[in-house]
Amino acid sequence: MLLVVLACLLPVVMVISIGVGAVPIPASEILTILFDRLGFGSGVINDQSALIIESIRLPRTLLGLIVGGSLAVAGASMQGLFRNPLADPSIIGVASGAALGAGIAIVLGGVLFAGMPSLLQSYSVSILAFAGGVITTWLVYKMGTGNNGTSVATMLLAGVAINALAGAGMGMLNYIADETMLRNLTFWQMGSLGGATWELVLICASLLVPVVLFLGRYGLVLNALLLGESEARHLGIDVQKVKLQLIFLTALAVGVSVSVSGIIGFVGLVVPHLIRLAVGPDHRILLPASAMLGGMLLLAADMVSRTIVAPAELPIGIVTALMGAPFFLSLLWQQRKRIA
Amino acid sequence: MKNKVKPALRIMATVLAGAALASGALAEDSYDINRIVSAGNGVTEIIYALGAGDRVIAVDQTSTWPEAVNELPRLGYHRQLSAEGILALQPTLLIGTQDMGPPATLAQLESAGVEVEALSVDFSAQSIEKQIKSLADILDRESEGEALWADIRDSLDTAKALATSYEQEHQKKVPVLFLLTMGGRAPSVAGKGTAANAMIALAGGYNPAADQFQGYKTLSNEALFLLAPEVIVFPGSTSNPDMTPEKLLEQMPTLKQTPAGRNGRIVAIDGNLLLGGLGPRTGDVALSLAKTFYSENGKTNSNES
Repeated sequence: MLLVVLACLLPVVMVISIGVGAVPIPASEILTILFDRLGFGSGVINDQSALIIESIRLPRTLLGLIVGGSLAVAGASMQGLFRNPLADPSIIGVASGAALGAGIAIVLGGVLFAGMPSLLQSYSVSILAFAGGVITTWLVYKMGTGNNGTSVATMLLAGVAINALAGAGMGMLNYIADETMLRNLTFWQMGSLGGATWELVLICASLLVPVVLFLGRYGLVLNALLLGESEARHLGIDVQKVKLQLIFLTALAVGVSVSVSGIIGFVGLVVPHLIRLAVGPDHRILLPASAMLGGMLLLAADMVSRTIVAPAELPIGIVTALMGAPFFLSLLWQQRKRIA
Repeated sequence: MKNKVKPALRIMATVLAGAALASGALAEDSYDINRIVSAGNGVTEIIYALGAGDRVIAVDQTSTWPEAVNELPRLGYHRQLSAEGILALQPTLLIGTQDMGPPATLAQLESAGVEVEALSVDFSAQSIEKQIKSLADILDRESEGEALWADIRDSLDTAKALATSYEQEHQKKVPVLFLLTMGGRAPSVAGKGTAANAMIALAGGYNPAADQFQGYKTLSNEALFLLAPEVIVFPGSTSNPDMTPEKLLEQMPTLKQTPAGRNGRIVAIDGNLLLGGLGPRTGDVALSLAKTFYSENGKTNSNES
């Protein structure tokens, strides 16, 4: 039921997202242009609107959808895997590792990537952010894995330590950065979908859509894990293998998302909670519903981000935190009353 | 970047440009300057100084002078421009520095028919001259541009003369530090590659910190004593009117032990002047700084810019 509602809302939100911006474009015009580009149009087309939709808003909307969906699914999977409602991709170090990678690219990139092909240079921030995220996740995973399999508690602790280490690295980079680099670092950490181009959307979609689909298939397994690891094992699940796969997939989802859009907080944390409040903790619904709601929420946040201070843009990470945190607090408050 | 070409040379330049496959910018003859968006403090100031301020429809965050720009829509930070936000203003021309970005935004603007001019800018007097020439050429205000540069050059020359005569007499330049203070914490000192360092140099001072590091660094009190500044400059004046030299000394009593503190040679300048690079007011500021550096009785005074 919820899935159907979300699936119906999704295209609506997308059209609104394409319509909202500094240059207002009515929905009818959007549909005319989209249908025309798909090959069966007949209406009269305004070139300026067509350009804005084609080269700015459509890639941006698609990127927001993909990134928001990936972050939310990754959050839902983490929370299931760690059996901890506060688990968020940042806890196991993906976000801070990615930030450190991006920081290295921004501050030292000029030296490190000197003489490399210009294509590599222009994506150096994304590449190192992704590498940073994956490396820290792998470290945390290795730390938490002993002879008896992976201990979730140790992984969380290792994540905290690695976060602190990455924070120190960022501090070091901040210290040696010049003013321009500092501004770039700060802006990167606040996230933005402003860099969306068709090229980026294609790269992202080809990596993230399969990852999200894969993660979506872990509903039953995560349901079993909710009972406890040994119970899941008794149900015939290879817990160790599943953990490794889930960690790999979430690291990939978050790493790629962060590398193209910077750090966008709260989507991965809040969205699964919202869904759980509405329909309970069944991961078979939770995962796909999180993907859709995550995409929609990020699109909504992006609409605010690009209109509220037009012609400038408010970094989207600020918007998601500003919208997400109070909402989350109010949910906690209500739950507290229910428990009491 | 488009260079101003003297009429007599123009034909030759065109021929050369064709032969040498020079950049397309040279071949471009005139700009549509009806609706200008300016993304850079220095650029904005020069456009206004050339008398084309009425063509400007929006400016970036760092542009705060003259007064009139504060009425205009703000584009945000010039490295994080929003293509759509700018397009909504329907500009014909976007002018900024090479720092403008991100590249995706600039490409989108160009494909939407907005001309984008990124001037290359550094912290030197030549760069101011080049900027003024390019902008005067784009705006078709060559004579105003020449007059403006002549003014600035005169001020800079006077400043240099003051410094030279002092140097000949005392066999040294005056050591000057630029301090950024934040709520009583250890101050950050401007090193090499900062606008503040460039301003000190143009005013004929010597920044001992420039030999030691790049950018702004936090210095311990001991390191400050070692650098022994005879004059300390800090952002105050119109950008931060609450911050007086007295208050600075109160917040950081250790500064009193430096030669500058002992002799009360602590000078406030308008911090906004340094935010977006050098501009048309640089000459005046450099000259008035030079006067405070090289006045013999040099007492604490605020520099009105």
